[in-house]
Amino acid sequence: MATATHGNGKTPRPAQPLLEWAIATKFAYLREGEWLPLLVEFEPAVLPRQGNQTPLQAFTSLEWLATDPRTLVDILHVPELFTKPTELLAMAKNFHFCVVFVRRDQLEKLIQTPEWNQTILRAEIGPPVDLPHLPKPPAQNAPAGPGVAPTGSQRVVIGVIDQGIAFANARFRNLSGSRIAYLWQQEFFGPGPSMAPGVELTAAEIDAALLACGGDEDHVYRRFGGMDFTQPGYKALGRSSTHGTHVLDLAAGEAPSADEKKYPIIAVDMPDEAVGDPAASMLTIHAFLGLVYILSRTQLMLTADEKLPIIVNLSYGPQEGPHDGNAMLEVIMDFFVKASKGSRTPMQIVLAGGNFRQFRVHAELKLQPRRVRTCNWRLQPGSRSPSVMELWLPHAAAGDIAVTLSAPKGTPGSPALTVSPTQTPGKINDANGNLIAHADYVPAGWAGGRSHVVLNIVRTAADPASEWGEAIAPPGIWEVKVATTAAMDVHAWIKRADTPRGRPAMGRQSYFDDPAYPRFDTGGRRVENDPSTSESYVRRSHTLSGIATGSETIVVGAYRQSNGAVTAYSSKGPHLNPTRARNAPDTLAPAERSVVLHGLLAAGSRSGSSAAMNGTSAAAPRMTRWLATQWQSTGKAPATLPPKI
Amino acid sequence: MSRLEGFEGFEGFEGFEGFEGFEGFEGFEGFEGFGGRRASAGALIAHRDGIVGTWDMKGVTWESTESDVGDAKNLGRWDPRIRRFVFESELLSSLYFTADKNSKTATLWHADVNPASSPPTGSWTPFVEIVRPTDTVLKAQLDLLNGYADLRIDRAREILSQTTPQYAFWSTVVPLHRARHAKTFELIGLTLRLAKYAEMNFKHALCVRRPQEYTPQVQPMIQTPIHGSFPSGHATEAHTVAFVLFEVVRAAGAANAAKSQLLGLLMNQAARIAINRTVAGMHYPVDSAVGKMLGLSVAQYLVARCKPAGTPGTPTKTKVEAWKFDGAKCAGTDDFSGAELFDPACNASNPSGKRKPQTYADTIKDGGGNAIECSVRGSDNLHWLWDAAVAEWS
Repeated sequence: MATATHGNGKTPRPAQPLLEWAIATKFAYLREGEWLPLLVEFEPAVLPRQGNQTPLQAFTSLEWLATDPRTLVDILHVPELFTKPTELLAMAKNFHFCVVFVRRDQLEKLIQTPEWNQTILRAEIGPPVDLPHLPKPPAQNAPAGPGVAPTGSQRVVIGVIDQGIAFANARFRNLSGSRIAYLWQQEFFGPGPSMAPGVELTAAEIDAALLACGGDEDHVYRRFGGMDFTQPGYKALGRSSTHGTHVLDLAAGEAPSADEKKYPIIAVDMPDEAVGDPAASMLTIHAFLGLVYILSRTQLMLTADEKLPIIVNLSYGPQEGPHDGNAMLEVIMDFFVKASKGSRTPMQIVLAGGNFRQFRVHAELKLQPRRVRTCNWRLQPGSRSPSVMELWLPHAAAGDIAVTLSAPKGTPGSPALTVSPTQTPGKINDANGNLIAHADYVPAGWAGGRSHVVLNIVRTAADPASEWGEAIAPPGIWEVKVATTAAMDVHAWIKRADTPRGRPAMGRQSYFDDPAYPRFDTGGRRVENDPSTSESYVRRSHTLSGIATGSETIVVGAYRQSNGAVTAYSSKGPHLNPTRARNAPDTLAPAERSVVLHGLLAAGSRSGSSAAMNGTSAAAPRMTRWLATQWQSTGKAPATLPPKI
Repeated sequence: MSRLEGFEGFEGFEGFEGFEGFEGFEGFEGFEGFGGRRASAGALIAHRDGIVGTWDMKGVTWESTESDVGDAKNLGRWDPRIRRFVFESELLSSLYFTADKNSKTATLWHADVNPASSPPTGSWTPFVEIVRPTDTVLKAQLDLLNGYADLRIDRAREILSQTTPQYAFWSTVVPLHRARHAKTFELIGLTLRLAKYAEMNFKHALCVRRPQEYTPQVQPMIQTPIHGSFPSGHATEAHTVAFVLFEVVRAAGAANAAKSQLLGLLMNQAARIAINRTVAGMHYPVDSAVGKMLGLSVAQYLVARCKPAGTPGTPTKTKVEAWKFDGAKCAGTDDFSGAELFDPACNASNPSGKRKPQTYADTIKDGGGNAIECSVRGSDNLHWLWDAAVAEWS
């Protein structure tokens, strides 16, 4: 059995800074729930294997944990999606990612075991749940529904992973019935007694529900618990327009009279926890499981000899990440696309490039040895979500980094912390001893990884709904001083922390505040691109979504239809991925009609309604749709992508 | 603050009729209308002196005996604001309210009064009974208000527009226009006032506290009106108008599919208006449910009363269902979605949809378990208005 050598080469240590932050803050920023979903990357070489077990099978057998298997049930749960032998797992012979659920009160103990430290390369955390419930792998020959029956023409599955998908909308039906072959409502535990956790619907069930409710969509959503007003919180399906419905309509919507049968839909509806509060939510796990789901359900739909390509649309993305194709979800998406090539269900994945170009959330520090560079990290007052910054060293960095984080000038005691490879983690407590800032140096421990530093600062305003209300960080400019022992470029990204439209006020986006950053030109117009003369460390470059730098995924930027201009917000490369030859975005699609007519018009939540929405979220599904038509007419991927559609 | 604020207290004054309370202005429209100016009394006196000449009565052009006493046709001579006193008193003359604190029940009684007998005689039957829900139920309903608060931003524009009677909204589903449908508007005004008489008496008798009185966390987004919560006035009035409007326009005879769609849309509209009040933080969902039930009862009653009276020997009587809402049978988790209490599908046996029971609402039963029906007489006066309104749609 090989010994793991990740970490700094000495004692193995998984890269799991957000897990450690969650534990340090006693899970204050996470909702209630007994089980924590973790997305883990494991080291196949150290697992004890039996016979022809794939690494995933070896991992999910849990033999690697030196704990009585009977007590493992109390600590760890692996969803059946990963343990039952399916075609998916056969395809994933070398797949070394998995989602596991760990009991909240056992997590700290588990990550201290040598087995965890030797086996796990990376771990990310998702929103807690009460039951580790996921849809089981479906029975074969599950009834599909007349709207998604094969037609003899080449079909292409359009898979949309989004939030608030109004599945009963007429735009997703043809004359025979619903075009949504499968829908997974990922809310892990239902908001009320009426909805089973993780509800899965087939086209036949959607058709039956519409019939039973006399065609009234409100009643259909009430029936499935999507509009359960006995529960608090955001109820997407109660709103007049939603992100998910808009995106799905752009990607696959047609009037029922068009009787569209060539593009069946598989939809994954992520819960509000995945996208509603970007600072606290982590959509990686939901998106990953959504990919697994879409692939496995497509395989159910195959008729004899049919090749059924899948175009997946994911119109979400974080600001942070290494931006080199090595974020966990990027590796997973690249894996799915590569492994499915040449199979009967080849998959392409289309991503929104990001809307972050003007947000001042990226800094590039060209460092000389022992020359300290200072960045101003401005935290806004009234932010009920924590602020997080990641600083990434280059590949195979020749030297070490030290980062000092100081509270705003005037904070009593002038608290500060410093982290480096030898001094980690760092903490700042307030006058009452409560943690208000935490920093981690995370060594490059996994294939292709880069070392990075993670800075976490707690909220700057009390959240009345929070039980842990004492620790408040002062708003204002927190200085981040960076020094290295060798010349290198360090890129820093600030995690998203705004409040998406329609949600109760939570986060306010922190940003780099450099007086030298050009925001307006001498005529008073907004500057959209970094002028060559800019000497600021804050750059509009490298602002792509942190999951949009993989080598196999298709990244879409946004332009305005009236004048063809790229929108000011559309994130720009370059990326830092040596295996991705082309720059990102790969292509541009419309997301605005004109300067005064914002967004694109597409379906509101209820049939017959419309809504305008902009952003690369709207551009990406336009590309998804285009790609689907290419596969439908030629049976294969287009050789090149047009620069604009 | 906005102009609308001042209207909160004017809830009883629907739109244009809003100046009813100012009796001194009755004569205003009777004069030269829009562009006219009143002549002064002094001018009129001097003018008469100048032209009248010696008193020498030669005869009159019109005589009182040309009109029959009590003839409904005479209504055409009066101003709508005068007619409303006749219509309202006629409607209220056969309705009576009682309340019983022990059973926590308020009852609206209907009397089948024989106008031919002198003195008038009649027999009373219960028409609408409402039992107050318990505090336990109401407190549990507050969870629903918190859940619905999520929709406040989404519904804000509608909520602000719907503080006053929702003529603009009804006019989108049924093409109402004041110039073309004067009698229909008069009928709607009467409908709203009858609904108000019903709902205000129940609100007073049952005296249910508003959600914001139970907890300071409700924080309604507009001011809570100063009357009881249960039943909801908006729910009652919206459903009454929806049903009456349908009955007025359906007399034009469309196919069942079209009628079902129209009635369904009118009911959906009324439900949304009602639910918006819960979103705004002023009503429990059960208020909307009982409001719908009461509204449908008031509407069916009004439609029945608007039939012709028939003859003293063979009066026209229509059977109207008597309904009871038992608040004690409500669960705290009972939401109001609009699907309750009524099925808008129109067919040969149910030309105007059909009322349906819920766990907390059903027809009132007599000792033998049979549903009580109120025998409601037509009225020539009310029929005059109804007929004129229906004629506007042919």
